[in-house]
This record gives sequence, C-alpha cells and structure tokens, in this order.
Amino acid sequence: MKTYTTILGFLLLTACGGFKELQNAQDHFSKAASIELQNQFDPQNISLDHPDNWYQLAYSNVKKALQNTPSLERDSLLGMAYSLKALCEWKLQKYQLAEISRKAALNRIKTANRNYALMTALPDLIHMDVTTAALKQTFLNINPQGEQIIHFFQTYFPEGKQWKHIKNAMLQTPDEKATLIYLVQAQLSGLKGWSDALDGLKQYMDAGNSYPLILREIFANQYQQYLEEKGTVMDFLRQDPSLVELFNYWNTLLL
Amino acid sequence: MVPITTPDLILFTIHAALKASHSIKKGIADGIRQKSIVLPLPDFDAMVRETTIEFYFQKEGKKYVSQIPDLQKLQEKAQTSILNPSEIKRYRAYYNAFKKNEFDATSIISYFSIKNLHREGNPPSLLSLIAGNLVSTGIEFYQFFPEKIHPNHFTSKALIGFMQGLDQIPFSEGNFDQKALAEAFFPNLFVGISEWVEQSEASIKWHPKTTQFVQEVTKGIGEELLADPTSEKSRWGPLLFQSFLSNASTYLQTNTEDKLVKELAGLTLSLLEEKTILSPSGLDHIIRSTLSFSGQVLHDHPTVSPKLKNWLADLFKKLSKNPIFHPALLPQVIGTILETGGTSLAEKWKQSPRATRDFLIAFFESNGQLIKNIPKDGWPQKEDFLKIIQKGLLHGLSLSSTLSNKELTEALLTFQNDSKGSEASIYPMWSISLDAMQHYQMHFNQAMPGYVFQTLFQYWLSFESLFWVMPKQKSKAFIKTLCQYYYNEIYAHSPIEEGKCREIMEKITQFMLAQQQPFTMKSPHEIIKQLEIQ
Repeated sequence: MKTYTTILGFLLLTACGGFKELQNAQDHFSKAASIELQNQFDPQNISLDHPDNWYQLAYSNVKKALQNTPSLERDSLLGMAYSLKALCEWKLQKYQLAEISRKAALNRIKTANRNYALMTALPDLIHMDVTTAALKQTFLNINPQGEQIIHFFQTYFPEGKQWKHIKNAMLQTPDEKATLIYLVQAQLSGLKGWSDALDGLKQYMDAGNSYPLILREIFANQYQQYLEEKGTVMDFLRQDPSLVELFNYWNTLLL
Repeated sequence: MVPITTPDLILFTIHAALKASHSIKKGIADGIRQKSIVLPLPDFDAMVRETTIEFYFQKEGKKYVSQIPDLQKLQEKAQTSILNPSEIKRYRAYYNAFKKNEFDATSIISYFSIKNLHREGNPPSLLSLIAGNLVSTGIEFYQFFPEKIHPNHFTSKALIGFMQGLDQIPFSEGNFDQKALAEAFFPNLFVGISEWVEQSEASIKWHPKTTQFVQEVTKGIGEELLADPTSEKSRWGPLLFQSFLSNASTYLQTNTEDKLVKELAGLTLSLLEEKTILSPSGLDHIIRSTLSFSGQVLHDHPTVSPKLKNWLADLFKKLSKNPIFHPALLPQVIGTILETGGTSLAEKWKQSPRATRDFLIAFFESNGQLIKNIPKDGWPQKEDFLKIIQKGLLHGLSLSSTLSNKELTEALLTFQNDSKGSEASIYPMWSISLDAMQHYQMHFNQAMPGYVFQTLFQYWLSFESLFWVMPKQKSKAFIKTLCQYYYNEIYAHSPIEEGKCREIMEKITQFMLAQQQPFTMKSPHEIIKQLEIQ
C-alpha cells in the first residue's frame, strides 16, 4: 500500500501543478474584475485595492500554468488558459500579446462556450478601451481642435461598423444567457464612450469656438447612428423583466 | 496487505495509481473548466454628462423645467453655451432628483459572474462551484490514505453525504459574498469531516441512514450560512458539523424522518444570531439534547417536524432574551431542559406544544427570584445550577400532569410576581430553596468553603419529597432548624476538613428525615446530643 500511495502521490503532485496555478489565476482575475466593477458601478465607494495588482497576479499565475502546456492540453484546459491569459493581457493593456493569446485560445476551444464568445468579442473590448483613452485625450485637451475631433470620430466611430466582433460572438452563443447579458453590457460600455464623445463635441460647439461647420453634420449623423445602436441594445434589456435594474442603470447614464 | 514483490504486482500498482491519478485530475480539470469567473467591462466613465441631462429635460423631463425657475434658467443656458461648475452641480442634482434611478450596484455586479458552461434546467449548486477546490483539498488530505475513500469506508460515506448535501443547496452565483464564503468555508468543512472521521474511527457506529443524515446537516448548515454570508457563523460551521456527526446515533435510533435534521442544523447555527456565547461543549449539549428530544417527539409523529422546529426556535429565542440567564449558560440550560424533560416533556409537547412552551417559560421566569439571590462569587457552580433546573423541571412536569396547563402556568406566573405568596407552595422546591438561600446567607459568611455549600445543596435535594407534601410555613421552620444544626456543628468543628463536614451533614440530614416532624424540636443541642456527633 505504501508503494501505491507513494506512486499516486507523486503522480498527482507532478501532474496537478499547472492546475493549481490556473485555479489561482481564475480566482485572482475574478478578484480584480470584482474590484474594477465595484469601482465602476459604485464610484462613491472606490476600493483602495487596485485591480491591476490582482490582474498582474492572475497573469503571472496563468503564465506559470502555461509552462505545463502538455498537461493542460491533455485535460482540454489549454483553451481556458490562453483565454485567461488574453483577458489578463487586455486588462493590462498588452494588446498585441492579447491578440496572440486570443488566437491561440480560439484554436483550442472546441465548443461555443463562454470563453469562445469572449475570445471572439475581445478585439471590440480592446477597441473600446483604446477609444476611451483617445476620448479622454481628445476632449480633456484644454483647447481641442476641430480637426482632432473629426479625426476622432472617423477613427473610432466609423459609420456602420460598430462592434462587429461582439455581435458575431452573440450570434455564436445564443443559448448562453449570462454570456449574452455580459456582451450586451460590454456594448453599453462602448455606447457610454460614444455618448461621452457626443457630449464632448456638443460642449465644444456650445463653448463659442469657431469650428468647421462639418462638426454639426458629424454630430447629427453620429447621434442618429448612436440612437439606432442604443435602441437595439436597450431593447434586449427592456424585453426581460429580470434585467430591469440594468436597464435603469444604463438608461440613466446614456445620452 | 500483500507486499509488492513481483513484476506483475508492481505493474498493477503503477496502473492502478495512474488510473486513480487520471480520475482525480479529470475532476479538477472539470472544476476549472466550469468554474465561474467574474468578467470585467471595458473602461467607461460612470458620470452622467451635461448633454444627457439637457436632452432629458428637453423630452422626458420637460414638465419639470417650467415648474422650477432655476432649472429653466440652467436648461436654457445649457442649450446654447456651457455651464460653470456650480451650475453643473445644480443641474445634476435636478437630474438625479427627477430621473428614476433605481438600481443597486451590488445587484448589478452580480451579472458579471459567468460560468463557462451552463447546465440546462437545474440551478447551479455549491458543489459545482467548489468541485475543483474539494478535489484538490481531498487529494492533499487523502493522497497517502487512499483506502479511506473506498466506497465501503465510512469516510467515503460521510463525504458522499456531504457532497450530496452541497449539490442540493441553491445559491446565487453572482453574490460575491456567498461565493467567497463558500469557496473558503466548504473545503474547510470537508477537511473537518475528514479529521473527525479519522479521530473517531474506532468509536463510530455507522447507521444505514448516516449518509442521509450528513446530507441533511450539510444542507441545513449551508443554507443558513449562505443566507447571511457576512456573519461569523462560518467559524462555527466545522464544529457544529462535527457535533452533529458525533450525536447522529442519538437521533438515528429513534427518528423516522430526516428532514428535520436539516432544520435543526440551520436552527442551531441561527442561535449565533442571538449573540449567544457558545462554548464547544455548550454547542454539543444543545445538539445532543435537541436531536434526542426531536427523536422522541418524532418517533410517533413523524410529520410534525416543521412545527417542532418552529417551536424550538421560539423557545430558544424566548429563553435567550430572558435576563436571568447569563448568555454563556443558556446552551446548557436549553440542553438540560430537553434532556431532563425527556419522554415526559415529549409527551407533553405532543399534547400541546404551545402549553409546553408556556410552561417552560413560566418555569424559568419563576426561578428568576431564586437565581437572583445566588451569591455572585462562586456558588452554586454551573453544575449545581443545572441540577436545580433538572430537579425543578421534573417536579414541574409531574405537577403539570395533575394540573391543567392553564392552572400550572398561572400558578407559576403568580409565583414569579410574589415568590413568598401562598400560591408559591404549589411549587415548594423553589420556594423553599429561596428561603434556604436567605438562611445560608444569614448564617454563613463568605469565608465558608465552597464544598460546604455544595454539600448543603446536595442534601437539600434529598428533602424535596418531604417539602412536596409539607405546608409552606412548616417547610420554612424546618429549613431554619436544619440550617442552625449545620451551622452549629460545622463551626463547632472548625477548622474542619471536607470529609468530616460531609459526614456531619449527612448524619444531620438523615436524622432530620427520620424524625418526620422535626419542627417540634426546640433545641438544636438536644438533637446534636442524640446524634452523638463527636
């Protein structure tokens, strides 16, 4: 019996090392996301704990787990590990690495589950973060120039091309309600950026600056497109009574 | 066990180990794959912008603008130019006041915890949430004792019951407090069971229904805990669990229904909400006695478990609010009631739960006067106090068989209001004990060794049958005389060692009982002489 248990113990200890790191990565990522969401949805109670510390920890865990790739592959966990790595890289603004990990994950995920949807949608999630950064840079500028604003809208909100990756992900996971709700909320986050950009533009025009007339046209067109996009997304929430709180939240926040 | 000596056996061992390793690994991998993770959103600014407010007051909120001149002014300015910070502040305040803004941040955040795969139909269970944690904990615990997780080993049976219980506990995946607690608590509970089984292996008698018992206890503790995930109950969980397991046989021998176990487990944990100071032994006492009592009640009436659970909860709550008890004593008081009352109390309960509860409450309230007179510096000890309760309860129950519940309750409540009133004679043990305390306090100073008091009390209980038929005034005279004898003799031999003291008191007591009518004796010295105590 002693021999047996020694063998079993050895096998388990050597084989499960990557698992533990992956579990830790999941836990740390969830912790980071919880803090970040808390800060976003309840800004009156900002946590002193910085989410990036936990994202960094999760990233470190998942990289260690991926040192044991053959074991993860045998247990069909490689797709999960790469997905988590891509998500960490997204939150840590390592966008190029995130794209590499995303492709690696998609190559290994065999079913249209949460991770598949996330990896499909990830380019848009990253794009939204990049947009928000550009938005701040453009409109927080003390004297933004009309050309900068025009460039911003053309680059980040090109006509008729919003969030195709997320929409694609939603088509591929029609039965995963929780995932669908998440993807809808991701779109609403993007809509908030769009709403803020429209506000920035209007404030710019109302401030008495002399600006190219095309800005008025841009505002009108963008606002129209924004409303169409918003209507579709908000309808998703409006149709489900269990999502009334979400509806109220975004309805208060958005233009 | 046959030693491994041949190549075949060695290969077999390696194969078996690999197979076991594979199964366990698969369990962990499944847990990881299905585990929920919280998903973050892209960055966004949660502040409401001026244009959003402006457009709102242009359309939906237009009716408010005409009613408030300040808002009207702000709205007009916002449409053509930009507001200064003070104006923005007021503008936002109007928006927040008029725009319905009904949401709860915590509730919204719950939408972001998402599993990788969803099981159709069934709500997610705790087991699915923490399967990975349990497997890894199990590996650590049993990696060198795999024989214990053989299906026929009772460790395995206990763990199966535990996991079946977990699998039936619904919970909100999105509630982070619940999740955090579950992930930390239940693997600890798993270890707690394992340790308990290991320690108690030799003494456990496995009952065929034990697995179900464990399952129900797990559900009871789990549901109660998750209902209030921020409480400190989690500290007590493993102890509670072990206590239930230890006392399982008490219940399983008599009970025919198992669902009550779940209720009782939850109920016991909920006692902590009453801020009761529980010690491990107090907790154990409550569980043992509650299981025993419930078993007796349910033996003939298996369908009354919800009623019984509510009854116990009500009784615990009322007693815990009774100011006469020190909170640390309450668990043992409750335990003593249920154990001492035993079959009589169970029978009484079957006739009328409400009257039984009223009887117990009145019983304790009536004893409040006695307890208040107990010196604070040591006597009676907890054990003596519990003996008082035991004796008194038995008398109360015997009385209650001849009196109606209403009469008994009224009598006891009257006694509470005036412990020296004539009605108190209905309950002589307590009335006389109260008098005795006063006499002791008059005659004996606090330098009297504790064992004297203990011995007094021990013999005091011998008189109860006599007191029971004795008129109150005579009882008091008897006490007075007896106390004088004790006092004189003990001090006559002072300093006195414990054995001698007990001997003297025993002789006096036996003599007094033999006299039947001690009240006619005028001189204590005369009696002492007869006793020939030297």
